[in-house]
Amino acid sequence: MAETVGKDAWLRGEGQDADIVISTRVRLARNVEGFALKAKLAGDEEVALLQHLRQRIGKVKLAEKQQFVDLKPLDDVERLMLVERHLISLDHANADSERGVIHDDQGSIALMLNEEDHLRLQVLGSGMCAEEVFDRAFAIEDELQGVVEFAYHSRYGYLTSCPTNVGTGMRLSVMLHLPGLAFTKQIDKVFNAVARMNLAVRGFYGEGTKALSDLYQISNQVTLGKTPEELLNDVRGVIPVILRWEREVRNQVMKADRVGLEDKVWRALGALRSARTMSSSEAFEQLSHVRLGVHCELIPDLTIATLNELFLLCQPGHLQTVVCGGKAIEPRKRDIVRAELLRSRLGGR
Amino acid sequence: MNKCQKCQKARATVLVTDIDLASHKPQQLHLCEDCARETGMAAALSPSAAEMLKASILSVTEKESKARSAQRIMCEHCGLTYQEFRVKGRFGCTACYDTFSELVEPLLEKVHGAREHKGEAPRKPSNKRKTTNVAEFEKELVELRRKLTRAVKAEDYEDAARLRDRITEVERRIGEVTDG
Ligand SMILES: [Zn+2]
Ligand SMILES: [Zn+2]
Repeated sequence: MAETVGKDAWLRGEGQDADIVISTRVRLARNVEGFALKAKLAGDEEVALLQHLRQRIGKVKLAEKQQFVDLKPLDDVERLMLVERHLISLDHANADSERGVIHDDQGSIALMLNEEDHLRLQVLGSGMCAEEVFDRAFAIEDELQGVVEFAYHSRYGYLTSCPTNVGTGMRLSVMLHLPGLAFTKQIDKVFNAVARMNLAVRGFYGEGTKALSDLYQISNQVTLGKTPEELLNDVRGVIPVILRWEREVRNQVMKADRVGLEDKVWRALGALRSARTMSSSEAFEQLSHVRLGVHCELIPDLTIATLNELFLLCQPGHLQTVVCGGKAIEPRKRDIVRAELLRSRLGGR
Repeated sequence: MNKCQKCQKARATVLVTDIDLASHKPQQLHLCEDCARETGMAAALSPSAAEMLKASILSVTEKESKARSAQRIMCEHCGLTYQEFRVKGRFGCTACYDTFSELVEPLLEKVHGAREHKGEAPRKPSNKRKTTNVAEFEKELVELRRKLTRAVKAEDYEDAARLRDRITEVERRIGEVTDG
């Protein structure tokens, strides 16, 4: 496993506008006609549903390599790894039901089985790639329709456990790194812009309740009454505006206070290279500053791929797996291990 | 800079659309992560808008339920009561959408600003690559599973066991045909 850790395609820092857009993801919620929905699915039926989906989806070639992971026998750290790779949701990890995930070896495609809906199909990519993930997700969905009958209502569209997902069942999200707007306290511009478009913005969470700094996810709020293409265009329409603001702010800061910015960025790198204990939220904050430094060409010899990998490795599941061999360790010890990892990866002492 | 509209202290970093009960209009709320989390509107790492909007469902349906005394409605297919839906915000089977349609539509209107799906209907598996034989088995399978849901709900375990056996048998036969 060690050689594949941190190598998922969405972490490469490639693709369009990758200086700001971390990743793009589309998720489709579908249920199988005939089976009760999650809330009324008896234990025996959970098993039958899982078998049904595994057997049917097994006939479809999703990618070069694909595998089924049964979540029930995994321990907490292993499940957390999958959450951090964005292959399953936190709810899916913490549930107690018969459930699993089918994913490819690139970490680009994941089909959660028996989540809140029978099937949650997800395609994830690096940088701004809304059309690409959209096309790929619907191509896979089309293949699946050849083997599974999805619950569909002539008036309400694809039926879901929760009426907030009904209709297209589609959620398109773009993860943005906006340190410039955050640094200059203009992030409310983003909130206002997306509110007008009926989109949602959310923070990105780490351990506990602390937000990981400067990461924002923009996604469509509604799933009903618009075609998937219209929803795609809504999300896609607002992103260039936000990218322009973020770049303008970065340029302004570089002109007006280059030393101030350099100071902030190099201090962050200094902390990462020297600290003896580091919480995940501090690590994310410092990595966020360094990431900005790399994009403003203030820090040579560091790549976005390395930083993205460290973002991942600093999270509890990966940290405990990669550094501690899968053994669960207490948070205080984790902070020490995390600091060691960062020092060694970033050439500290 | 926006302050959190709930605690009035921290920086607002989460935008939540909630439904204002008095005006029945969507309302934008700027909250800090802690408040958003506390109100159950934000989930960890892989946030889902469903969670975010659950609060809206509850507040909206509460109002509707009072107007229509809809608490007594129960889905005859899966046994879900309106009360259960209020608590969980989740339906029990696909028939629930019709059972509770009177309550569903105002809710959809508020959450999505629409009551009807727009977009392509799925192609039926039987239209492509499936022989008539398999199409019939598939139809039977769907019917059997519906019956099974009802049998489980009615605690008719004998019937449920019989239906399960039949389902296994039909699945096996579909497998035989499609695997060649
Ligand atoms: Zn607050
Ligand atoms: Zn029902």
